[in-house]
Amino acid sequence: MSFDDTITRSIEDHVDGVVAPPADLAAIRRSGRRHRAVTTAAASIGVLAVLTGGFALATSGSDPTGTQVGPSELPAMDFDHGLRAYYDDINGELHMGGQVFALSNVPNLDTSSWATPHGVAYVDDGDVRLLTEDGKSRLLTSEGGAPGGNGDAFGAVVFDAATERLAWLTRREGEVFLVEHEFVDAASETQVWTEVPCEGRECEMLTVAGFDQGMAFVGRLDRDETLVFGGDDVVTLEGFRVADARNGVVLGMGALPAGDPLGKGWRFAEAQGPESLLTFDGAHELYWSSTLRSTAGGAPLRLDVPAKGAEFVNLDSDGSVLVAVTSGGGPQRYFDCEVPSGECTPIGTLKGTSGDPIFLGNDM
Amino acid sequence: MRPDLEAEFENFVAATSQRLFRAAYAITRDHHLAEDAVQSALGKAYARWARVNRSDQPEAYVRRMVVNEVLSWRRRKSSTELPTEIPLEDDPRRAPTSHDTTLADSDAMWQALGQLAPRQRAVVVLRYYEHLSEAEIAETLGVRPGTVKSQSAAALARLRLLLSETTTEGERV
Repeated sequence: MSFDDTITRSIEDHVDGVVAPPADLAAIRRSGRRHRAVTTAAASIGVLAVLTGGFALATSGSDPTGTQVGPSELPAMDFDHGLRAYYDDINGELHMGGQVFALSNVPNLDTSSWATPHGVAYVDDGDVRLLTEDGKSRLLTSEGGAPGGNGDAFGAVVFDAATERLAWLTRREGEVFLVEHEFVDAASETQVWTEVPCEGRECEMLTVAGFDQGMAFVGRLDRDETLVFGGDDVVTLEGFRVADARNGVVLGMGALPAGDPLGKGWRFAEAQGPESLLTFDGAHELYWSSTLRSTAGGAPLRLDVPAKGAEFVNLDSDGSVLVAVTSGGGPQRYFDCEVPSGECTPIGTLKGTSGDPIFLGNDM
Repeated sequence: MRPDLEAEFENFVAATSQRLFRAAYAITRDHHLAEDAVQSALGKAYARWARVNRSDQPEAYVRRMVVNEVLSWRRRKSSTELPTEIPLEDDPRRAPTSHDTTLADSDAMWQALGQLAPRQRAVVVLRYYEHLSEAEIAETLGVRPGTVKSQSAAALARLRLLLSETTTEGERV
């Protein structure tokens, strides 16, 4: 046996029989979420739509459904220019709202979170919280907040800028509900709960994929299919998985729905991937490049990023596009680019110890 | 994370965690350290799963993260000491081997591998156990191929020396 063969055989003898412990997926996910945080969305206030079905309840008061709890030692932030949120998962340095602080102070902010003009909404152990610009967090769900108490929230929280509503899914007493939380004004908030039809394991395979002008798109994992809530009836888009929906444009993968299944004259466009995002006007798609593809077959929007290298993109809460550029493991340079002008402003640089640039709340 | 990506990640973990663990164990030679390294790397992979999953070779991507976890742990510990190893014959997690006739050589080599510097051992494991090319090892470790070549040559020379010393000591006894 050659010397090389002896090395191979020795390692195989001593390693191949070693049995790995079962992977602890829950712990892995918790660990992963510590490496992420907050996200994108919304700004303008539009027409208030009314959902049918389910039941609604209204609460009022300055702190209607929860208490001031949550992340500690967070400074007040400034969301006027958007969240501008990115981080380094090695040194744990989180940049958000013009401040820099430790990721460990906000361990439950992750890609399922969503930034709104009211703050950043996120799921925390089955509850939904809102982290506001002053660095404080309060519950949007709490005992007594709905008949029978609240359920166990899961998946993504999505904000609809047009109706000033957040949407998420929750389990309660064996059923899954779509919860729409409406910010009526500064002093009152309303929740509408609508049961989501599902059975058995498929109930575990649901998420809110998009929420636009009162139409909530609930995606199924077990098949290319999306349930659309917000009209008189729940509409099923068979063979089509929604990636994002904004301004009457529905971006998704699979067979584009024919005709006008939502009865609203909305336009369906093919997504490049499940992580694709739409610009606020729905005109362009964000997908791993500073060149944004038109959703209508028109000219792409090229962001004027003054750097070369691999590009990572995310939609910021004010509608601008955040771009990170890195090359060869060097520094990660971050830019805030306006849409549609494409003008970019440098907003920071990270040393790049983690390999890929990471935006809060976005897997890209 | 979107449910479809969640499911893909879950499938990935099920399919690869055993192999990733063994690669980590071959370098660390410590069950718990290997488990921690894989757990941590998978957590980071989860955090950027869309990116990882989109790469040409997601397993290679995550293996790189595992190896870096192992080596960065060693840097943090600032130590070249080996963790206490469970004797082969006493390790209840280990299945019996059929290579009894060459077990002595195999054990001697294993002991010698344990005396390599961690980065050299990583190069040897990636080359002789994972069967990666020099270019792939270089990418995994974030170094130039020339560095892999020199580290590999140094590791083999060290192994030959250690094994010859073992043989000499055995003859004295």
